[in-house]
Amino acid sequence: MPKLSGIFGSLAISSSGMNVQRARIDAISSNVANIHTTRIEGGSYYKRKVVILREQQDNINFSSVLSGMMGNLAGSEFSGVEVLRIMEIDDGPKMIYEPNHPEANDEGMVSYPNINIIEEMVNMIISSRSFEANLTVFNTAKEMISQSLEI
Amino acid sequence: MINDILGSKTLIPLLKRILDLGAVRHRVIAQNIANASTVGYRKKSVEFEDSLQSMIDGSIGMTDGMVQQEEFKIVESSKKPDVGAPNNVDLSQEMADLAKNQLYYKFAVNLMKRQFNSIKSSISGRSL
Repeated sequence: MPKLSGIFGSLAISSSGMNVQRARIDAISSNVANIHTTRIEGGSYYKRKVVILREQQDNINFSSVLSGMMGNLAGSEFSGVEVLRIMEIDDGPKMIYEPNHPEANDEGMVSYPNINIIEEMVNMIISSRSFEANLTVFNTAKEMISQSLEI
Repeated sequence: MINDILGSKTLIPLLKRILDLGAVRHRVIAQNIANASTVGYRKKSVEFEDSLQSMIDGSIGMTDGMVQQEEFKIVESSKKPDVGAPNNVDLSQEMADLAKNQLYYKFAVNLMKRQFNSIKSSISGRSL
């Protein structure tokens, strides 16, 4: 059976790229939406979510690993990128003095999540541009396929 | 005879290989761009072996069935990433390579079309 390694495989790669960028945007929107959350289930404070990505390699068999070791990855079935896990980064709450807040502790401090809105916005732009780049690759592959149908 | 016309006497086998190379290269660029924000990813690139280059130079005759995936080598770059960057993929470089590869592919497709048109006109005996 021929491998899906030609031009059609690149469509799957680009869509996996778009998927992970959407997952990153999801995490960012969750972080931005919870920027004023003072407690989560369990009584703790909200922790910043970060998506960890990993290169996806399917159907790894002996010969592809061997040829990969020998410097030739042509036999390995790389197929894009995937979300390895969504990590919660616990860098402590941001304590803000708000004695009138119902969630304030005895010293009048409220624990807000440690989210930097500027950082989230910058990451959002990066994700959105990466999504566009993947989309461009996808459309180019589509054009190449329709061009080869003209032969 | 027919094999000569469709095979070794024309550019079709060579163009077939060039189209294959274009497809593999596109896939590698897609992989690099999809992993542009993967920490620790290493940029891949396609190298083709001397056989195709010498075929383009004309030092090896063209025969049918010479196209094989194994003739393309996909290698990982060991370049160090820039300070603060998650990996060594340069997105603007990849986009430029993508545009270049697309034109390269289009060029081979057009040449291939011309080859088939000239075969057609020699079969029908009149120009198309």
